[in-house]
Amino acid sequence: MNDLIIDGHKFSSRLFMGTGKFDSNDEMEKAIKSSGTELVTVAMKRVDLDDKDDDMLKHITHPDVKLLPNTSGVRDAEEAVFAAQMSREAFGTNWLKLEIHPDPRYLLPDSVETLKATEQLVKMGFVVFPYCQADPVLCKRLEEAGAATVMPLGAPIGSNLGLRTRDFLRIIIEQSNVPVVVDAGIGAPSHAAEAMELGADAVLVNTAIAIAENPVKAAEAFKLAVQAGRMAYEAGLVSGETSFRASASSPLTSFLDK
Amino acid sequence: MEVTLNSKSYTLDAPITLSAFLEKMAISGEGIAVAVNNKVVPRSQWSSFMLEDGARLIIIKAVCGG
Repeated sequence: MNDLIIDGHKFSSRLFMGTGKFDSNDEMEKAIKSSGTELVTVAMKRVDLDDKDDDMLKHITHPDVKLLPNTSGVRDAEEAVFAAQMSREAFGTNWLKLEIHPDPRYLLPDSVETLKATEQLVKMGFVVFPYCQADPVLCKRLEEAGAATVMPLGAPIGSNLGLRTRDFLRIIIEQSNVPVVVDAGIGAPSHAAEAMELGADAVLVNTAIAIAENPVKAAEAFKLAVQAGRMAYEAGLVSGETSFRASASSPLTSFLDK
Repeated sequence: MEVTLNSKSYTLDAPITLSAFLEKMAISGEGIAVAVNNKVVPRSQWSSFMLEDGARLIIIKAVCGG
């Protein structure tokens, strides 16, 4: 399979993994290994001096696994920029999963703030992976702002519903010049394979692996599905799907031109 | 003098450096970031950065997340 390259870094695995919701750090570590992932997300929290919990970083620190810190918990672009600077200091990486979700009920990304933060963070030298709506126009704007990838959601986060945004993902993939990583909503290996067959460059999976009865086995199942899906895409399956190219029903008069 | 760390107050006898404060609070410097009054203080400045009365510290570390 072709390698995936982001910011000059070569990935042979196209499965990115989140580290939340595992029962224990040991189980998470084993799942990371069996998934074959080379990129894992990590969040930040304020240090609690009374809390002597196990340091999770040592469970994910591995020469073949790169860290992708996220900005979970921030509500706007200003907070995101602050979180990004803290993250770069704490983890020594300028890679950043930008996620701005003002409402914890749905954890849906704020498109306006995400675009604003991407513009600023790129200028500050960050390699930005924005978690975003499956909005083809927004994804194009993020690309133009200098995002290293776009990470449109497949379905509401944590829902495990699969590719509910499938038609828009197709358009995003078709027109994108940066890698497209389908994030959120992938609940089964078949969903991951479907995303890869569509031509996604990678998928990010967390909940589905972490809450499976056997997360280590689930992680391996996702690994195989991502490989199969990618291989099918590279094989050039003929899907029979029709093109989504629009045909305007109103005249596209350039009435604003002088 | 008083400083706050992640919104909890702590009393100090005299102004001290950020490094000395971290040591006093038994906070390991690995995998953390520190901001004072909402500005990130780079690790390279911890040993010279003086905490003044009323300083508001935020210290973060890694936690599992998606």
